[in-house]
Amino acid sequence: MDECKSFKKEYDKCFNTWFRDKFLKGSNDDSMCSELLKHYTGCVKKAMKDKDIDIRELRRYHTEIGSKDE
Amino acid sequence: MVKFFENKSFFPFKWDQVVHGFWHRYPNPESKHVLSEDILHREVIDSKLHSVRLFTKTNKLPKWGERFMNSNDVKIVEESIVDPKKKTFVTYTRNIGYTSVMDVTEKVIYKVNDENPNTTVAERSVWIESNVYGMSRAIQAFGLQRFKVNSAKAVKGFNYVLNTMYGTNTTSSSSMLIQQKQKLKDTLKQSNYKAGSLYVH
Repeated sequence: MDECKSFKKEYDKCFNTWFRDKFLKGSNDDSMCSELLKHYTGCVKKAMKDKDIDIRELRRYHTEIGSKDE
Repeated sequence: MVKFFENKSFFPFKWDQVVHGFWHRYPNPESKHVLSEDILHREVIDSKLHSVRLFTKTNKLPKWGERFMNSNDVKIVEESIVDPKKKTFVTYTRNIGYTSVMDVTEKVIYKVNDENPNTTVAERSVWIESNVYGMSRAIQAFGLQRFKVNSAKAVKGFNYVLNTMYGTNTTSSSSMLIQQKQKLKDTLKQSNYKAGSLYVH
């Protein structure tokens, strides 16, 4: 979403480092980028609502995730 | 009725590199149809990274398709799981909306190539379903043909990105690419795909 580009950029930068240097090396702690992710996905959710993009079945294949914030 | 198709592609890069590169796949010279790419959800569960992403892609249709779909772009949801211990990466991709016209789900498993652990193999499967009365066979055949062309382009684009990120993996790339081409040709031959329209470099 165009309106979330700056959030996406910040988050992607953090994720890039975390994924390569932490996650792939065995760390499970994903708190490093969690705030940036929250801002970014919050922006995307709002943009989707504004654009009437309704994804009723968001997770078809791994339904077990996402229970924390729903 | 569901059409099913599968093929394999090979990347002359280590699994870690391919999985890391996956998040940087766009843009690439083969991805001009990808308009947006966003994360909807991401979390680590049981040491695995689960992600849900949303894509908007342009959707060029043949004339006959315009009566079923009036939108020029299509929304795609991608769910994925990275398991760094087992070194597997699974993606599920499907279209959102117009699913009664054509419902396409692609599953790709990226794993270490047993024959050459410095390289990665992607096993791709696709299911295509259409419920348009009297047209479902034609639409499925169209969807399958498009899928084959698009997946070859996706592999080409992804390899371009990997080469940009890591440089050419000279120890194995040329032989792997030849192997990749041949295997893809064989797979396509088995599926009666017309060799004249094969587009793999």
